[in-house]
Amino acid sequence: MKKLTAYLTIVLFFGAGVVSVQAQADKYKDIIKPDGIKNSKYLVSVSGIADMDLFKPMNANFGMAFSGSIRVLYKPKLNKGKSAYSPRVIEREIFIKPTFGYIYRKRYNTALFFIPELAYRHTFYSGVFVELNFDAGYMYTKYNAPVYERQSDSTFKKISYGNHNLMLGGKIVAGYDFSKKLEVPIAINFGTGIFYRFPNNQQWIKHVYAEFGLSYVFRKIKE
Amino acid sequence: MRFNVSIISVFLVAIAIFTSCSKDPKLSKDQLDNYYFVKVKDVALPVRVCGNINSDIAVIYIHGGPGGSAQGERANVYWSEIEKYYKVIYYDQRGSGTTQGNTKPSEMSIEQFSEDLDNIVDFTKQVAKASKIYIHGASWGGGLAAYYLLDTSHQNKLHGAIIESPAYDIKNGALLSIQWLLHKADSIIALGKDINYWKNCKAFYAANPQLNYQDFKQHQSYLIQVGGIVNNAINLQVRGTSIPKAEIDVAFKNAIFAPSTLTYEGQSIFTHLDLTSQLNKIKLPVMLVWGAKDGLLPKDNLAQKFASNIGTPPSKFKYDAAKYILSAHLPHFEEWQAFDMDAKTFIEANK
Repeated sequence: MKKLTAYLTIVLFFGAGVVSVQAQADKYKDIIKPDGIKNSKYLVSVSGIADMDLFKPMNANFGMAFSGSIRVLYKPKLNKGKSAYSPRVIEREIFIKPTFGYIYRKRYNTALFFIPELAYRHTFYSGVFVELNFDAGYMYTKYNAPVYERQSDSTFKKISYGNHNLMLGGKIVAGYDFSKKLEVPIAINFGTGIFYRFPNNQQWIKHVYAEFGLSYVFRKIKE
Repeated sequence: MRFNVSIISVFLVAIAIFTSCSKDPKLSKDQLDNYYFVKVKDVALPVRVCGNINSDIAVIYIHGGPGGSAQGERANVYWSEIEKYYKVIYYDQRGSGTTQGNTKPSEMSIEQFSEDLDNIVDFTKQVAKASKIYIHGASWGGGLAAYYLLDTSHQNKLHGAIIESPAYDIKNGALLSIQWLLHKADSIIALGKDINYWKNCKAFYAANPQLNYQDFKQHQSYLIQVGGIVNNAINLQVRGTSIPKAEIDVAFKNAIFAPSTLTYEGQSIFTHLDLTSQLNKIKLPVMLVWGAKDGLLPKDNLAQKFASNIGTPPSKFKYDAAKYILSAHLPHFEEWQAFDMDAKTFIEANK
């Protein structure tokens, strides 16, 4: 009798479990339509840059970058939430980010750059995101003092001068997208990156930098 | 939306304040501190003009290395004394220090460096408004100064030259430096100190009897340990000064690029530079200074050889072999008080 009772208990327990799992799956399928989480999203960002010389004494040179983010690929992922009415949507996106910026170095140069960044952003359901960027662009280093050049008649003439550079690099960024849960169209981010400029005496020059940014998020649910 | 604008405004103001913070020493009314670049071919040499705004005398400092920089040189208190009376021009050489641009290895020659220096001399006359110009070359800068002076037209632009421990004969100077160091190593071994280390040092020179630019780094490391570059460290005095916010990687890479590429008559300066036979072309007033304890370019032989071969008349050639007995390679740092007196006396006597 005891054996029978135990057998029935096991069958009921697991049987009920199977039934309940199936019921939950059906429930989500009914409520969350994949179309419902589709949206269009653009970002306009402004970032502060600290280009750092990691050498004693450590030196930082500051600049700013302005970028727009155009989403070219969106792969949302649905995770189960505690309630059927609060699904956990993880956003997986690829952006192209045309970025303009500058880094100012006193008595040295102002580096003006344009980079069409390629970024992969992974936004968790809470709004926290991580982003990986790959950069390739153009940099013009304008000298930060009057530039003179000796002319053929040996007189000196003030000229406008700078150097053209190729720029390659990448950065990793983390942040919080307030637009995801709180419906405030702002996102903040901070991160670090590395870029190389070429040429300086036919060599690549390395830069390590930190970045703090603020974005305005244009998010519109697609009908 | 107002909230968003506020966040952005605060953010922008914070960045603006952050980027505007920098320090520079205060100048008195009769002092100047201006910064320029002089473009020659594909590089723009950084030039800092400091000192007495009313003076028509300028001293152009030619830094050492090769691959060094003049940007930190101003911190040496010797220059604060010189700047009280004269203009001082600090410039970085091609492919050296904080110099930007894209010079080709083929342009890294003492011939091109001399042409660059000539640009700086003309710039000093025309833009820095100094009619009486002196050059002060130390170490490699002294070698470059000596080469520059081989051209009579260059000499005609100057009132005099201060030449300090000049690398005018690196070819033989390197061998003398090795002998100097081996003698020091033997002395230390005889005292029973770090015997294995200094035996290894001797083995290094046995394996590398002729130094190239790569060996020079190790050579300098040994010299520093026995006071062959700076001997009278107790008298070094520096002051605060700003320097350009240069890219540190440029300075690091230039420190390797310049010595590895620099040539004289198409061959490495480390194995081929010897101007001894041409020194007789130099006729203008020269003040020669050499530290008695110099291990990098030992005074014995090199100083006397320079003095014997220079073409400057004895009345215009100032060299006292008995002075600077505490200094090694950098007397204007190590015995700056005496150097200051001698330099001012020389400048005033030839202006």
